[in-house]
Amino acid sequence: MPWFLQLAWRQLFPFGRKGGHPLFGVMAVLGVSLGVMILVVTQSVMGGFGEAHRARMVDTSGHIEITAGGRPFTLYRAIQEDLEERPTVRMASPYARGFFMAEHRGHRAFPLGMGIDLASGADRRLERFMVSGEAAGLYDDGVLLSRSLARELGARAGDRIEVTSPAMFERAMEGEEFVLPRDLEVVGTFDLEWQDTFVPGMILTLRALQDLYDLGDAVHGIMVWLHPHVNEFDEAALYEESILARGVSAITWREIWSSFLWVLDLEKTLLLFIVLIIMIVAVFAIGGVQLLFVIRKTREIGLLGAMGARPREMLALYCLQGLIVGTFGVVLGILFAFGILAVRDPIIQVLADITGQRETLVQFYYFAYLPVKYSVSDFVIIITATLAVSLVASFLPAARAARMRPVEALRSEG
Amino acid sequence: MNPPVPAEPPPVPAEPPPVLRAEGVHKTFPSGPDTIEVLRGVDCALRPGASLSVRGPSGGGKTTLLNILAGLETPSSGTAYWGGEALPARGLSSLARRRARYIGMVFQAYYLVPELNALENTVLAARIAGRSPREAEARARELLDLVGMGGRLRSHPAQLSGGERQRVAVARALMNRPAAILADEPTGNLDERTGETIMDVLLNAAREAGASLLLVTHNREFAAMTNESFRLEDGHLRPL
Repeated sequence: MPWFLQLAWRQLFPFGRKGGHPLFGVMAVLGVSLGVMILVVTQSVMGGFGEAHRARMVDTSGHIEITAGGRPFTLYRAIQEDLEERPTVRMASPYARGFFMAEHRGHRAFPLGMGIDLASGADRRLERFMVSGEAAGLYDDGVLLSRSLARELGARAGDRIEVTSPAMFERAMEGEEFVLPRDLEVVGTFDLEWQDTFVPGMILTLRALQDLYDLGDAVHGIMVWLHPHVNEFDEAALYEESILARGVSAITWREIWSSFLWVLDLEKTLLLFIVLIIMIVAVFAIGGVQLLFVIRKTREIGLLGAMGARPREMLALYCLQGLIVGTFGVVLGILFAFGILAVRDPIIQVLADITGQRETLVQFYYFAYLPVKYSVSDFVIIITATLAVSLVASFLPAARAARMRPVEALRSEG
Repeated sequence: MNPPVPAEPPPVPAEPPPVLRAEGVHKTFPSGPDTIEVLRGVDCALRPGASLSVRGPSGGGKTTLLNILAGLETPSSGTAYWGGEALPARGLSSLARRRARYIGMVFQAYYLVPELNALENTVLAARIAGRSPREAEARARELLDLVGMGGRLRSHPAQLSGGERQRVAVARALMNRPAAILADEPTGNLDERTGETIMDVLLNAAREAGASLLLVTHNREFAAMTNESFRLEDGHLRPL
């Protein structure tokens, strides 16, 4: 071990014995570790939100959507069969959707309804989101309601609601027939734990929706879920080349949600910059303290010079101190962050209970819990940035020490 | 018969060059609009194994002369030599590594590193000079034993008396087997009795290590313990 590394360590942490107090070193490490902790917590939670949003996007629209620009199309069965033969495809499920008027005991709402194909197993994907009832129990005269819609209508599993589609109104207005609302049984309620704007309020069978919207055998699209690690862009390109007819296109979930994904990434990046600025301020404060430390050690610096220490060794000595502080700060900060994030949900729940704002939390942040995603790239950025800033902050005091002439340093009053 | 040719006298062995030498050294310092000339053409030489003392009034330039000979300060004119080699007029920082091995320094205020214990303080000098830790530690233990600090190896400066600190500083100065020890008022912070002990330690240790000694002191008795004594006054060095 070079002498200046040993001395850097001992000056920072003169633990035990009567060599001095490790107060400066401990405070500097704590300062950096708190900054790192905030960075890790912020980025992991933001990453978690992003991940949760992405998971919901894939849950609700699949990895790839086959559509005819929103218009109904009828050749979907052949396409579905072709897709299901591909080893990369886990499930291909046709769907149709449209807005409805729903009524129950005088309560009225206008939710988005989605018709899913039970034959392709789309109901099985819903099972884990069911709050009451079973998705497998869905039938042509049944409906699944989102928890918030069920609350709005005052309906629960087993109740019957009345549903009217714009197509039915159209028929009535054209005087073709007297249209009565369709009576559907609430088979169950689900909660995708996501903002209502993004998810359908009602889920019906594909047949029921086609009937209510006069679609015949047409659908609005096919949702395709892929096996893990399959590149959706390559798949979509391949479908367009070899499977899809003219006028029908394949679009990935990343393209569908591109604006929202951009906002998510922007939020995360902005937060990283904001917290990094705080971090830089904190580390430069530590740099200032280290400058005072160097001034306090002026005579020792003179002594080392008189003993033959070279300027670059003095530079290394005090830069290494910055690096040691940065390294320990990073390690401790990451450990603190893991600790805080491990108990994040109890903390959030206690805060929500104290303030009575649990529902608000779900309403505005879409999630009933605090999602976290640890990303290797986030950690690489945080560790590299912290060490770089620690090094830069300690460079000025170190350069001052390296420039000192031993004879002047020894003469100083310090 | 030719008269017998007288045999040639045996060659006189060449005298080794002085360990340290000052030749016509001048040093001026700026003082406001004026300059102060503290050294005015100083000549001196410290021979191998010898000891030399410099006395004189405070502010008379003793420490400046010592710093010039240590290669820590450049003279305004004149030259300082280590062995037969002139020190550069500029770029003294390049001398650092050579100084570590050639010169040992003892200061009035000891200047031990407070975070290191006696053994580590002594070892530090060898580590700066680029020696291996194992070799350095063995030598440090030996030297601390020599100066009577063998029992306080793990004590930190805060736990040592002034005399003990100076003993450690003497051991540190000898770590790299220097050609010369430059001692600047080594007893200045000590009481008379402790000062005498330290002088004994310093002279004995230097002798044992085969190092020359340049002593800057105010004390007439301590100065008398060296082979040569000089007085530095008005910028001139005069033998006593």
